[in-house]
Amino acid sequence: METDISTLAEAVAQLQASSAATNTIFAETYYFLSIPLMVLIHAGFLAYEMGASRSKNALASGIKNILAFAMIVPFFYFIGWWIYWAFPTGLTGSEGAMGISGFGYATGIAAPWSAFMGPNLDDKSSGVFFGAFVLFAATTASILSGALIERIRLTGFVVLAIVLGAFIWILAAAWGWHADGWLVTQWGYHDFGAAGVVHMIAGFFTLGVLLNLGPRVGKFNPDGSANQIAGHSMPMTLIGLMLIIAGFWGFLMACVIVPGEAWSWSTTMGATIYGTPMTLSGMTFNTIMGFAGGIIGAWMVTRDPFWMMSGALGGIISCAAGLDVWYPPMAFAIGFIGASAMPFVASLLERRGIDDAVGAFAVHGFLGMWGLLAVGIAAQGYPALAGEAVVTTSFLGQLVGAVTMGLLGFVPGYLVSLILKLTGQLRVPPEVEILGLDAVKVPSRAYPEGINASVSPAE
Amino acid sequence: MEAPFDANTWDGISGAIFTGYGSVEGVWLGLCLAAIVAAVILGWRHEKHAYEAAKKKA
Repeated sequence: METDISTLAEAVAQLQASSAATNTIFAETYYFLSIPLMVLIHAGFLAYEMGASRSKNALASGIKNILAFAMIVPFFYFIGWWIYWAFPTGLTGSEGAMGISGFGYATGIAAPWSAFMGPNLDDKSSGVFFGAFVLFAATTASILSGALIERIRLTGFVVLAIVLGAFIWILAAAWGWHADGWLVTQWGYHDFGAAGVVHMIAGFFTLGVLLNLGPRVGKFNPDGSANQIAGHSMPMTLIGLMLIIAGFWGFLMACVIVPGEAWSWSTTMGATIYGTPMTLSGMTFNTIMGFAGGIIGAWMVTRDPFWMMSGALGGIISCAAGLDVWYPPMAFAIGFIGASAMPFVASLLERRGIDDAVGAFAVHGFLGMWGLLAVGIAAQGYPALAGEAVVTTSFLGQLVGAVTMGLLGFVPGYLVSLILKLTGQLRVPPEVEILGLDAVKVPSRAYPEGINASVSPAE
Repeated sequence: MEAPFDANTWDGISGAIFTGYGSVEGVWLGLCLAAIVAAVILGWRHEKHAYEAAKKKA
Protein backbone atom coordinates (compact mmCIF):
# COMPACT_ATOMS: atom_id res chain seq x y z
CA MET A 1 0.00 0.00 0.00
CA GLU A 2 2.76 2.43 1.00
CA THR A 3 4.64 1.57 -2.17
CA ASP A 4 1.53 2.26 -4.23
CA ILE A 5 1.06 5.70 -2.62
CA SER A 6 4.70 6.52 -3.10
CA THR A 7 4.53 5.52 -6.77
CA LEU A 8 1.35 7.53 -7.18
CA ALA A 9 2.89 10.61 -5.53
CA GLU A 10 5.89 10.30 -7.83
CA ALA A 11 3.63 10.06 -10.87
CA VAL A 12 1.62 13.10 -9.74
CA ALA A 13 4.84 15.09 -9.21
CA GLN A 14 6.00 14.15 -12.71
CA LEU A 15 2.65 15.13 -14.17
CA GLN A 16 2.73 18.46 -12.34
CA ALA A 17 6.24 19.19 -13.57
CA SER A 18 5.27 18.23 -17.10
CA SER A 19 2.12 20.37 -16.93
CA ALA A 20 4.08 23.35 -15.60
CA ALA A 21 6.67 22.98 -18.37
CA THR A 22 3.92 22.79 -21.00
CA ASN A 23 2.23 25.86 -19.58
CA THR A 24 5.49 27.80 -19.51
CA ILE A 25 6.36 26.97 -23.09
CA PHE A 26 2.79 27.87 -24.09
CA ALA A 27 3.09 31.29 -22.43
CA GLU A 28 6.50 31.90 -23.93
CA THR A 29 5.29 30.82 -27.37
CA TYR A 30 2.12 32.89 -27.08
CA TYR A 31 4.01 36.18 -26.76
CA PHE A 32 6.73 35.02 -29.13
CA LEU A 33 4.11 34.49 -31.85
CA SER A 34 2.52 37.86 -31.19
CA ILE A 35 5.78 39.43 -32.38
CA PRO A 36 5.80 38.22 -36.02
CA LEU A 37 2.10 39.03 -36.19
CA MET A 38 2.90 42.56 -35.06
CA VAL A 39 5.68 42.74 -37.63
CA LEU A 40 2.83 42.51 -40.14
CA ILE A 41 1.76 45.93 -38.85
CA HIS A 42 5.11 47.26 -39.99
CA ALA A 43 4.99 45.44 -43.30
CA GLY A 44 1.61 47.13 -43.69
CA PHE A 45 2.80 50.58 -42.71
CA LEU A 46 5.71 50.19 -45.12
CA ALA A 47 3.44 49.40 -48.07
CA TYR A 48 0.89 51.98 -46.93
CA GLU A 49 3.41 54.82 -46.75
CA MET A 50 5.19 53.95 -49.96
CA GLY A 51 1.88 53.67 -51.80
CA ALA A 52 0.68 56.98 -50.35
CA SER A 53 3.84 58.72 -51.56
CA ARG A 54 4.32 59.96 -55.08
CA SER A 55 6.65 57.71 -57.07
CA LYS A 56 9.45 60.26 -56.73
CA ASN A 57 9.43 59.73 -52.95
CA ALA A 58 8.44 56.08 -52.63
CA LEU A 59 11.79 54.67 -51.48
CA ALA A 60 12.60 57.59 -49.20
CA SER A 61 9.31 56.93 -47.41
CA GLY A 62 10.23 53.26 -47.14
CA ILE A 63 13.69 54.02 -45.72
CA LYS A 64 12.17 56.32 -43.13
CA ASN A 65 9.74 53.66 -41.98
CA ILE A 66 12.32 50.86 -41.82
CA LEU A 67 14.89 52.98 -40.01
CA ALA A 68 12.41 54.14 -37.37
CA PHE A 69 11.73 50.53 -36.44
CA ALA A 70 15.43 49.72 -36.19
CA MET A 71 16.34 52.86 -34.21
CA ILE A 72 13.66 52.28 -31.60
CA VAL A 73 14.83 48.77 -30.74
CA PRO A 74 18.20 49.64 -29.10
CA PHE A 75 16.84 52.72 -27.36
CA PHE A 76 13.95 50.71 -25.97
CA TYR A 77 16.54 48.24 -24.68
CA PHE A 78 18.70 51.02 -23.21
CA ILE A 79 15.95 52.97 -21.47
CA GLY A 80 12.37 52.34 -22.64
CA TRP A 81 11.77 49.06 -20.84
CA TRP A 82 13.22 50.55 -17.64
CA ILE A 83 10.91 53.58 -17.89
CA TYR A 84 7.86 51.30 -18.03
CA TRP A 85 8.68 49.70 -14.69
CA ALA A 86 10.15 52.81 -13.02
CA PHE A 87 7.43 55.43 -13.42
CA PRO A 88 3.92 53.95 -12.98
CA THR A 89 3.25 55.92 -9.81
CA GLY A 90 4.36 59.21 -11.37
CA LEU A 91 7.75 60.79 -11.88
CA THR A 92 8.98 60.08 -8.36
CA GLY A 93 9.95 56.48 -9.07
CA SER A 94 8.27 55.23 -5.89
CA GLU A 95 6.96 51.69 -5.55
CA GLY A 96 3.25 51.08 -6.12
CA ALA A 97 0.83 48.91 -4.16
CA MET A 98 1.36 45.85 -6.39
CA GLY A 99 5.10 45.99 -5.74
CA ILE A 100 5.98 45.80 -9.42
CA SER A 101 7.16 49.35 -10.03
CA GLY A 102 9.62 52.00 -8.88
CA PHE A 103 13.29 52.70 -9.49
CA GLY A 104 14.52 49.74 -7.43
CA TYR A 105 12.24 47.22 -9.11
CA ALA A 106 12.91 48.62 -12.58
CA THR A 107 16.66 48.57 -12.14
CA GLY A 108 16.51 44.99 -10.89
CA ILE A 109 14.57 43.59 -13.83
CA ALA A 110 14.87 46.06 -16.73
CA ALA A 111 18.14 47.98 -16.55
CA PRO A 112 20.17 46.96 -19.60
CA TRP A 113 22.79 45.27 -17.40
CA SER A 114 20.16 43.26 -15.47
CA ALA A 115 20.38 39.47 -15.42
CA PHE A 116 16.93 39.40 -17.03
CA MET A 117 17.89 41.41 -20.10
CA GLY A 118 19.43 38.50 -22.00
CA PRO A 119 19.48 34.70 -22.09
CA ASN A 120 18.60 33.49 -18.60
CA LEU A 121 17.65 29.89 -17.87
CA ASP A 122 15.36 30.96 -15.02
CA ASP A 123 13.45 33.57 -17.01
CA LYS A 124 11.19 32.58 -19.88
CA SER A 125 9.15 35.75 -20.14
CA SER A 126 11.22 38.98 -20.07
CA GLY A 127 12.48 38.71 -23.64
CA VAL A 128 9.13 37.95 -25.21
CA PHE A 129 7.39 40.70 -23.21
CA PHE A 130 10.18 43.10 -24.14
CA GLY A 131 9.79 42.10 -27.79
CA ALA A 132 6.05 42.68 -27.75
CA PHE A 133 6.50 46.10 -26.14
CA VAL A 134 9.18 47.04 -28.69
CA LEU A 135 6.66 46.27 -31.42
CA PHE A 136 4.11 48.55 -29.71
CA ALA A 137 6.83 51.23 -29.63
CA ALA A 138 7.59 50.76 -33.31
CA THR A 139 3.88 51.06 -34.07
CA THR A 140 3.83 54.54 -32.54
CA ALA A 141 6.73 55.56 -34.79
CA SER A 142 5.01 54.14 -37.86
CA ILE A 143 1.88 56.15 -37.06
CA LEU A 144 4.05 59.27 -36.93
CA SER A 145 5.99 58.33 -40.04
CA GLY A 146 3.04 58.21 -42.44
CA ALA A 147 1.80 61.70 -41.69
CA LEU A 148 5.16 63.32 -42.41
CA ILE A 149 6.01 61.78 -45.77
CA GLU A 150 7.63 63.59 -48.66
CA ARG A 151 9.17 66.54 -46.80
CA ILE A 152 10.80 65.58 -43.48
CA ARG A 153 14.55 65.15 -43.06
CA LEU A 154 15.48 61.57 -42.27
CA THR A 155 17.75 62.36 -39.31
CA GLY A 156 15.21 64.79 -37.86
CA PHE A 157 12.58 62.08 -38.15
CA VAL A 158 14.85 59.54 -36.46
CA VAL A 159 15.17 61.84 -33.44
CA LEU A 160 11.38 62.23 -33.26
CA ALA A 161 10.81 58.50 -33.62
CA ILE A 162 13.23 57.70 -30.80
CA VAL A 163 11.64 60.30 -28.51
CA LEU A 164 8.16 58.96 -29.20
CA GLY A 165 8.96 55.24 -29.26
CA ALA A 166 11.50 54.93 -26.46
CA PHE A 167 10.39 57.68 -24.06
CA ILE A 168 6.93 59.17 -24.50
CA TRP A 169 4.60 56.30 -25.29
CA ILE A 170 6.21 54.03 -22.71
CA LEU A 171 5.78 56.69 -20.03
CA ALA A 172 2.09 56.81 -21.01
CA ALA A 173 2.01 53.01 -20.77
CA ALA A 174 3.55 53.15 -17.29
CA TRP A 175 0.84 55.57 -16.17
CA GLY A 176 -2.18 53.99 -17.84
CA TRP A 177 -1.27 50.46 -18.87
CA HIS A 178 0.22 49.02 -15.70
CA ALA A 179 -1.46 47.74 -12.56
CA ASP A 180 0.47 50.29 -10.49
CA GLY A 181 -0.17 53.12 -12.98
CA TRP A 182 -1.48 56.23 -11.23
CA LEU A 183 -4.20 56.75 -13.85
CA VAL A 184 -5.48 53.26 -13.10
CA THR A 185 -5.14 53.18 -9.33
CA GLN A 186 -6.44 56.71 -8.73
CA TRP A 187 -8.89 57.22 -11.59
CA GLY A 188 -9.93 53.76 -12.71
CA TYR A 189 -8.60 54.45 -16.22
CA HIS A 190 -9.30 51.51 -18.53
CA ASP A 191 -7.51 51.06 -21.84
CA PHE A 192 -7.32 47.34 -22.57
CA GLY A 193 -6.24 47.58 -26.21
CA ALA A 194 -4.05 50.70 -25.97
CA ALA A 195 -6.40 53.21 -27.61
CA GLY A 196 -4.87 55.91 -25.45
CA VAL A 197 -1.36 54.76 -24.64
CA VAL A 198 -0.46 53.88 -28.22
CA HIS A 199 -2.91 55.44 -30.68
CA MET A 200 -3.82 58.68 -28.98
CA ILE A 201 -0.27 59.37 -27.84
CA ALA A 202 1.12 58.78 -31.34
CA GLY A 203 -1.68 60.76 -33.00
CA PHE A 204 -1.29 63.81 -30.78
CA PHE A 205 2.52 63.66 -30.99
CA THR A 206 2.09 63.64 -34.77
CA LEU A 207 -0.19 66.66 -34.63
CA GLY A 208 2.44 68.60 -32.67
CA VAL A 209 5.07 67.74 -35.28
CA LEU A 210 2.80 68.60 -38.22
CA LEU A 211 2.29 72.13 -36.89
CA ASN A 212 6.02 72.78 -37.10
CA LEU A 213 6.71 70.76 -40.23
CA GLY A 214 4.19 72.51 -42.44
CA PRO A 215 2.44 71.22 -45.58
CA ARG A 216 4.03 69.71 -48.67
CA VAL A 217 4.86 72.08 -51.51
CA GLY A 218 1.70 72.40 -53.61
CA LYS A 219 -0.70 71.09 -50.97
CA PHE A 220 -2.40 74.43 -50.49
CA ASN A 221 -3.24 77.18 -52.97
CA PRO A 222 -2.63 80.87 -52.19
CA ASP A 223 -6.31 81.24 -51.26
CA GLY A 224 -5.92 78.50 -48.65
CA SER A 225 -7.86 75.83 -50.52
CA ALA A 226 -6.33 72.37 -50.50
CA ASN A 227 -5.22 70.17 -53.38
CA GLN A 228 -5.33 66.42 -53.15
CA ILE A 229 -1.82 65.00 -53.56
CA ALA A 230 -2.52 61.42 -54.57
CA GLY A 231 -0.04 58.68 -53.78
CA HIS A 232 1.38 56.66 -56.65
CA SER A 233 -0.21 53.32 -55.73
CA MET A 234 -3.58 53.07 -54.08
CA PRO A 235 -3.52 49.24 -54.34
CA MET A 236 -0.24 49.17 -52.40
CA THR A 237 -1.77 51.44 -49.77
CA LEU A 238 -4.88 49.27 -49.44
CA ILE A 239 -2.88 46.07 -49.10
CA GLY A 240 -0.75 47.83 -46.52
CA LEU A 241 -3.81 48.76 -44.51
CA MET A 242 -5.08 45.19 -44.63
CA LEU A 243 -1.70 43.96 -43.39
CA ILE A 244 -1.88 46.44 -40.52
CA ILE A 245 -5.26 45.00 -39.59
CA ALA A 246 -3.88 41.45 -39.76
CA GLY A 247 -1.09 42.56 -37.48
CA PHE A 248 -3.59 44.09 -35.09
CA TRP A 249 -4.56 40.60 -33.99
CA GLY A 250 -1.02 40.14 -32.75
CA PHE A 251 -1.14 43.57 -31.13
CA LEU A 252 -4.33 42.67 -29.25
CA MET A 253 -3.08 39.17 -28.47
CA ALA A 254 -0.09 40.74 -26.74
CA CYS A 255 -2.42 42.86 -24.61
CA VAL A 256 -3.56 39.70 -22.79
CA ILE A 257 -1.86 38.22 -19.73
CA VAL A 258 -2.05 34.44 -20.05
CA PRO A 259 -2.85 32.33 -16.95
CA GLY A 260 -0.83 29.81 -15.04
CA GLU A 261 2.62 31.37 -14.67
CA ALA A 262 4.28 32.87 -11.62
CA TRP A 263 3.77 36.34 -13.11
CA SER A 264 0.17 35.68 -14.27
CA TRP A 265 -2.80 37.28 -12.58
CA SER A 266 -4.67 33.97 -12.40
CA THR A 267 -4.04 30.24 -12.61
CA THR A 268 -7.09 29.63 -14.77
CA MET A 269 -8.26 32.81 -16.47
CA GLY A 270 -6.77 35.19 -19.03
CA ALA A 271 -6.50 38.76 -17.83
CA THR A 272 -5.95 42.29 -19.00
CA ILE A 273 -2.74 44.09 -18.17
CA TYR A 274 -4.60 45.44 -15.10
CA GLY A 275 -5.34 41.95 -13.79
CA THR A 276 -9.05 42.10 -14.64
CA PRO A 277 -10.50 38.92 -16.17
CA MET A 278 -11.10 38.66 -19.90
CA THR A 279 -11.30 36.08 -22.65
CA LEU A 280 -9.77 35.89 -26.11
CA SER A 281 -13.20 34.78 -27.24
CA GLY A 282 -14.89 37.97 -26.05
CA MET A 283 -12.15 40.12 -27.51
CA THR A 284 -12.61 38.37 -30.85
CA PHE A 285 -16.35 39.09 -30.96
CA ASN A 286 -15.71 42.77 -30.40
CA THR A 287 -12.68 43.19 -32.63
CA ILE A 288 -14.51 41.73 -35.62
CA MET A 289 -17.65 43.76 -34.96
CA GLY A 290 -15.66 47.00 -34.53
CA PHE A 291 -13.74 46.24 -37.72
CA ALA A 292 -16.96 45.77 -39.69
CA GLY A 293 -18.62 48.85 -38.19
CA GLY A 294 -15.58 50.92 -39.10
CA ILE A 295 -15.56 49.86 -42.74
CA ILE A 296 -19.29 50.40 -43.19
CA GLY A 297 -19.26 53.77 -41.41
CA ALA A 298 -16.37 55.07 -43.52
CA TRP A 299 -17.93 53.73 -46.71
CA MET A 300 -21.21 55.45 -45.88
CA VAL A 301 -19.61 58.89 -45.67
CA THR A 302 -16.83 58.68 -48.27
CA ARG A 303 -17.24 55.79 -50.82
CA ASP A 304 -13.43 55.93 -50.92
CA PRO A 305 -11.42 52.68 -50.53
CA PHE A 306 -8.63 54.52 -48.71
CA TRP A 307 -11.02 55.71 -46.03
CA MET A 308 -12.84 52.36 -45.96
CA MET A 309 -9.63 50.56 -45.02
CA SER A 310 -8.67 53.36 -42.64
CA GLY A 311 -12.17 52.90 -41.23
CA ALA A 312 -11.44 49.23 -40.58
CA LEU A 313 -8.43 50.28 -38.54
CA GLY A 314 -10.40 53.14 -37.00
CA GLY A 315 -13.27 50.85 -36.04
CA ILE A 316 -10.94 48.60 -34.06
CA ILE A 317 -9.17 51.58 -32.46
CA SER A 318 -12.55 53.06 -31.47
CA CYS A 319 -13.37 49.84 -29.60
CA ALA A 320 -9.85 49.09 -28.39
CA ALA A 321 -10.08 50.47 -24.86
CA GLY A 322 -13.07 48.28 -24.02
CA LEU A 323 -12.58 45.24 -26.26
CA ASP A 324 -12.65 43.06 -23.14
CA VAL A 325 -16.13 44.16 -22.05
CA TRP A 326 -18.22 45.50 -24.95
CA TYR A 327 -21.48 43.91 -26.02
CA PRO A 328 -20.53 43.15 -29.66
CA PRO A 329 -23.31 45.20 -31.33
CA MET A 330 -22.13 48.11 -29.18
CA ALA A 331 -18.61 47.55 -30.49
CA PHE A 332 -20.03 47.71 -34.00
CA ALA A 333 -21.84 50.98 -33.23
CA ILE A 334 -18.76 52.54 -31.58
CA GLY A 335 -16.63 51.58 -34.57
CA PHE A 336 -19.29 52.82 -36.98
CA ILE A 337 -19.65 56.19 -35.22
CA GLY A 338 -15.91 56.70 -34.92
CA ALA A 339 -15.15 55.80 -38.53
CA SER A 340 -18.03 57.96 -39.77
CA ALA A 341 -16.58 60.97 -37.98
CA MET A 342 -12.96 60.26 -38.95
CA PRO A 343 -12.96 61.75 -42.50
CA PHE A 344 -14.54 64.95 -41.18
CA VAL A 345 -11.76 65.31 -38.61
CA ALA A 346 -9.23 64.89 -41.42
CA SER A 347 -11.04 67.57 -43.45
CA LEU A 348 -11.11 69.88 -40.43
CA LEU A 349 -7.33 69.63 -40.09
CA GLU A 350 -6.92 70.29 -43.80
CA ARG A 351 -9.08 73.40 -43.57
CA ARG A 352 -6.74 74.58 -40.81
CA GLY A 353 -3.78 74.29 -43.19
CA ILE A 354 -2.42 71.09 -41.65
CA ASP A 355 -1.17 68.52 -44.15
CA ASP A 356 -1.53 65.08 -42.55
CA ALA A 357 -0.67 62.97 -45.60
CA VAL A 358 -2.40 59.78 -44.45
CA GLY A 359 -4.95 61.00 -41.92
CA ALA A 360 -2.88 59.71 -39.00
CA PHE A 361 -4.31 62.15 -36.49
CA ALA A 362 -7.90 61.41 -37.48
CA VAL A 363 -7.43 57.64 -37.36
CA HIS A 364 -5.17 57.29 -34.33
CA GLY A 365 -5.35 60.52 -32.33
CA PHE A 366 -9.03 61.30 -32.65
CA LEU A 367 -10.31 57.73 -32.62
CA GLY A 368 -7.99 56.77 -29.77
CA MET A 369 -9.59 59.59 -27.79
CA TRP A 370 -13.07 58.48 -28.87
CA GLY A 371 -12.22 54.96 -27.75
CA LEU A 372 -11.25 56.15 -24.27
CA LEU A 373 -14.32 58.33 -23.89
CA ALA A 374 -16.59 55.56 -25.20
CA VAL A 375 -15.54 53.44 -22.21
CA GLY A 376 -16.36 56.39 -19.95
CA ILE A 377 -19.78 56.76 -21.56
CA ALA A 378 -20.87 53.16 -21.97
CA ALA A 379 -18.70 50.99 -19.71
CA GLN A 380 -18.83 52.72 -16.36
CA GLY A 381 -18.77 50.77 -13.12
CA TYR A 382 -16.35 47.95 -13.96
CA PRO A 383 -13.69 47.25 -11.30
CA ALA A 384 -10.52 48.69 -12.83
CA LEU A 385 -8.09 46.37 -11.06
CA ALA A 386 -7.86 42.91 -9.52
CA GLY A 387 -8.64 42.64 -5.81
CA GLU A 388 -11.29 43.81 -3.37
CA ALA A 389 -12.91 47.26 -3.16
CA VAL A 390 -10.93 48.67 -6.07
CA VAL A 391 -11.66 51.84 -8.02
CA THR A 392 -14.16 51.45 -10.88
CA THR A 393 -14.27 52.81 -14.41
CA SER A 394 -15.99 56.17 -14.86
CA PHE A 395 -16.42 58.95 -17.38
CA LEU A 396 -14.29 61.27 -15.28
CA GLY A 397 -11.49 58.72 -15.08
CA GLN A 398 -11.50 58.23 -18.84
CA LEU A 399 -11.63 61.99 -19.40
CA VAL A 400 -8.63 62.54 -17.12
CA GLY A 401 -6.85 59.78 -19.01
CA ALA A 402 -7.72 61.29 -22.40
CA VAL A 403 -6.52 64.77 -21.39
CA THR A 404 -3.30 63.27 -19.98
CA MET A 405 -2.67 61.25 -23.14
CA GLY A 406 -3.39 64.24 -25.36
CA LEU A 407 -0.97 66.50 -23.52
CA LEU A 408 1.68 63.84 -23.05
CA GLY A 409 1.63 63.22 -26.79
CA PHE A 410 1.20 66.73 -28.15
CA VAL A 411 3.58 68.77 -25.98
CA PRO A 412 6.78 66.73 -26.54
CA GLY A 413 5.95 66.34 -30.24
CA TYR A 414 5.53 70.07 -30.63
CA LEU A 415 8.59 71.04 -28.57
CA VAL A 416 11.06 68.56 -30.03
CA SER A 417 9.98 69.34 -33.60
CA LEU A 418 10.21 73.07 -32.82
CA ILE A 419 13.82 72.63 -31.72
CA LEU A 420 14.55 70.65 -34.90
CA LYS A 421 12.86 73.35 -36.95
CA LEU A 422 14.81 76.17 -35.32
CA THR A 423 18.06 74.31 -35.93
CA GLY A 424 17.17 73.58 -39.58
CA GLN A 425 16.92 69.83 -39.05
CA LEU A 426 13.22 69.25 -39.59
CA ARG A 427 12.43 69.82 -43.23
CA VAL A 428 14.14 69.19 -46.56
CA PRO A 429 14.82 72.23 -48.78
CA PRO A 430 11.97 73.08 -51.19
CA GLU A 431 14.14 72.41 -54.26
CA VAL A 432 14.71 68.87 -53.01
CA GLU A 433 11.04 68.36 -52.28
CA ILE A 434 10.11 69.39 -55.82
CA LEU A 435 12.82 67.26 -57.38
CA GLY A 436 11.85 64.24 -55.27
CA LEU A 437 13.68 62.68 -52.35
CA ASP A 438 14.55 59.42 -54.13
CA ALA A 439 16.52 61.11 -56.90
CA VAL A 440 18.42 63.25 -54.40
CA LYS A 441 19.50 60.79 -51.75
CA VAL A 442 18.49 57.19 -52.46
CA PRO A 443 21.04 55.06 -54.31
CA SER A 444 18.39 52.92 -56.00
CA ARG A 445 15.19 53.47 -57.95
CA ALA A 446 11.70 52.29 -57.08
CA TYR A 447 10.67 51.77 -60.69
CA PRO A 448 13.78 51.73 -62.89
CA GLU A 449 11.77 50.59 -65.90
CA GLY A 450 9.29 53.41 -65.52
CA ILE A 451 5.88 54.14 -64.08
CA ASN A 452 3.30 56.78 -64.81
CA ALA A 453 4.77 60.16 -64.00
CA SER A 454 3.82 61.83 -60.74
CA VAL A 455 1.09 64.34 -61.36
CA SER A 456 0.45 66.92 -58.72
CA PRO A 457 0.46 70.66 -58.29
CA ALA A 458 3.99 70.38 -56.94
CA GLU A 459 5.37 69.11 -60.26
CA MET B 1 33.76 38.41 -22.71
CA GLU B 2 33.36 34.78 -21.93
CA ALA B 3 30.95 32.38 -20.28
CA PRO B 4 29.80 33.80 -16.94
CA PHE B 5 30.46 30.48 -15.21
CA ASP B 6 33.36 28.08 -14.98
CA ALA B 7 32.09 24.58 -15.76
CA ASN B 8 32.48 21.64 -18.11
CA THR B 9 28.82 20.70 -18.06
CA TRP B 10 25.45 22.39 -18.34
CA ASP B 11 24.21 20.32 -15.41
CA GLY B 12 23.45 22.60 -12.50
CA ILE B 13 23.78 25.81 -14.49
CA SER B 14 20.94 28.30 -13.94
CA GLY B 15 20.23 32.03 -14.13
CA ALA B 16 21.83 34.44 -16.60
CA ILE B 17 24.08 32.70 -19.10
CA PHE B 18 24.82 35.51 -21.53
CA THR B 19 28.35 36.38 -22.51
CA GLY B 20 30.05 38.82 -20.22
CA TYR B 21 27.26 38.81 -17.61
CA GLY B 22 28.37 40.65 -14.51
CA SER B 23 31.52 42.11 -16.06
CA VAL B 24 31.60 43.90 -19.41
CA GLU B 25 27.98 44.89 -20.14
CA GLY B 26 28.91 48.57 -20.02
CA VAL B 27 31.48 48.17 -22.78
CA TRP B 28 28.98 46.64 -25.16
CA LEU B 29 26.25 49.10 -24.26
CA GLY B 30 28.69 51.93 -24.97
CA LEU B 31 29.72 50.33 -28.22
CA CYS B 32 26.07 50.01 -29.32
CA LEU B 33 25.44 53.64 -28.53
CA ALA B 34 28.61 54.76 -30.29
CA ALA B 35 27.64 52.76 -33.39
CA ILE B 36 24.22 54.41 -33.49
CA VAL B 37 25.67 57.89 -33.00
CA ALA B 38 28.24 57.27 -35.75
CA ALA B 39 25.55 56.00 -38.12
CA VAL B 40 23.29 58.98 -37.43
CA ILE B 41 26.14 61.47 -37.93
CA LEU B 42 27.13 59.84 -41.22
CA GLY B 43 23.48 59.76 -42.29
CA TRP B 44 23.09 63.42 -41.40
CA ARG B 45 26.20 64.30 -43.45
CA HIS B 46 24.97 62.29 -46.42
CA GLU B 47 21.64 64.10 -46.33
CA LYS B 48 23.31 67.49 -46.01
CA HIS B 49 25.63 66.89 -48.96
CA ALA B 50 22.83 65.45 -51.07
CA TYR B 51 20.62 68.47 -50.43
CA GLU B 52 23.42 70.92 -51.16
CA ALA B 53 24.20 69.16 -54.44
CA ALA B 54 20.52 69.19 -55.43
CA LYS B 55 20.20 72.89 -54.62
CA LYS B 56 23.22 73.66 -56.81
CA LYS B 57 21.67 71.75 -59.72
CA ALA B 58 18.28 73.41 -59.30
